[in-house]
Amino acid sequence: MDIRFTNSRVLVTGGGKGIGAAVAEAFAEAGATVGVHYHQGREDADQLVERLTARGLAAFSLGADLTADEAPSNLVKDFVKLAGGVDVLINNAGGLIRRSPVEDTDDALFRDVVQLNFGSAFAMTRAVIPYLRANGGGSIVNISSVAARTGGAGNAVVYAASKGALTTFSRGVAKEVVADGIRVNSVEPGLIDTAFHANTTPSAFQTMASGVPMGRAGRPADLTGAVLFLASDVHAGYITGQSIGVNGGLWVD
Amino acid sequence: MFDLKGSRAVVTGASGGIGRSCALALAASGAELVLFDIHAERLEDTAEQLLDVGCRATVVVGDVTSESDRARLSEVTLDGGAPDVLVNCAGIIKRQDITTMALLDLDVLWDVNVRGTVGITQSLLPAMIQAGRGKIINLGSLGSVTGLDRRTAYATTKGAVALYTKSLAREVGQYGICVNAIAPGYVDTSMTSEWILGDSMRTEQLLSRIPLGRFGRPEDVDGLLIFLASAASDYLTGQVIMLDGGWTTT
Repeated sequence: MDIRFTNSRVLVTGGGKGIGAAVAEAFAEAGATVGVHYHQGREDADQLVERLTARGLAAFSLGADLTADEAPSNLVKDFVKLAGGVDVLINNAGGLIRRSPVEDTDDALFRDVVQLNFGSAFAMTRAVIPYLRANGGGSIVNISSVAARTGGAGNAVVYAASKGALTTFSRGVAKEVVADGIRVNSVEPGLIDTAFHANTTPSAFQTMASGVPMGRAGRPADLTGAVLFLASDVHAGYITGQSIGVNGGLWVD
Repeated sequence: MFDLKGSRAVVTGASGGIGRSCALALAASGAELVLFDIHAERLEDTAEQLLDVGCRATVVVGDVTSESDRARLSEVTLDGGAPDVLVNCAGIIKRQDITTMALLDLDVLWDVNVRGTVGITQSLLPAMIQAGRGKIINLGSLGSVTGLDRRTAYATTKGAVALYTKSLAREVGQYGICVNAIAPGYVDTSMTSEWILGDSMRTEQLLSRIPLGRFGRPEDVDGLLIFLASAASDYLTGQVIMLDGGWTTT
């Protein structure tokens, strides 16, 4: 089985580094035209695009702060203008911002975390639905987190709750748009070795990794199979509203 | 990433329905196959269909509940080395009222669906552990998670298959073996068609709960199966993945 996205236009938010970059690269390799969205990491996104285009693959970068009011709908418009349409949206942008116990989390931090991890995916989804419907269908894959299940690691409860909202949002919106031929699913990565854990000491990270039944942390490339599979109407056409954990056995429920 | 060229796969319950479809999909992705089923004639039909796509499968006729049959399957399989993929698809269903259900039904279904799955796995697992790799894919059911009215024994055994999947995943992850379950919703096969199509009222009720608006077809399982059998899912284990047209969102 070969999953191809020839003639597909795929927009990956937060696509310049980590999981997003691996996913963007895999879609480009599968023949898609890929929009690599970034916010702060312009250099990473541009370097990725350069690497991909040097291999004859189709990719370009787009900058936007997805927590700003009009930014998500403008991003979708810009992508459609450049790519000639949109078929697949990968809502990957997100982050911890910073760790904080609930009692010390002020309203501003709460809003920022929810806005980054859930609000941006909500607004992107809202903006992309009319375009997908006009195409006669399409697919959305949301990159949630194992934290949606566990409630989060220390001092990251709001992050976890916002990922929980994202997983629930995926299930719900899947039903709302099913008649338009649009499928919506989510992937919940476990412990993945990316800059997300930049503030964890190597020995603490190693301790966490050795507790995973598969005996290692995941790599960004470990996520690409699940994302491409779920995005494919040909191969996952009977799956919608689901979330798939990719966590090496760290969390099974 | 989703390629299975050079892989060897064992499929139980390969004589029809989802099992046969799984065998065809694995072959189309380049895997070599060992087929196992109790129904000799229909299993030969599967093998013949495989020939049409250029795959010469090894056929073993046997019963998953028989220790000696399982031993024979493992002997034939291991002749060619440790299998890369094991698909535990053999399963039976019986429908009954919960108040009058014969306890014997529970035993019969348990024997095939649970002891069969566990026994087949056990007979091939040591070789897979030694090889340090492998993909085990069990066929669960919507009922593994939701329970099923008037199919209590079936849902109970499929619930056990789901928990076996998770337990095994925890135990053999350290050897690089991934264990997952595919949990189909209402897929139209000879095992289910009387239930889902035999009563128009029920058909309508069932369809009204499937957001994608149709019953599944055996081929709908292909993509998920190949994904789980291939290197594309090397960090994915312990999951029971619903393939249900969105049923579990309603």
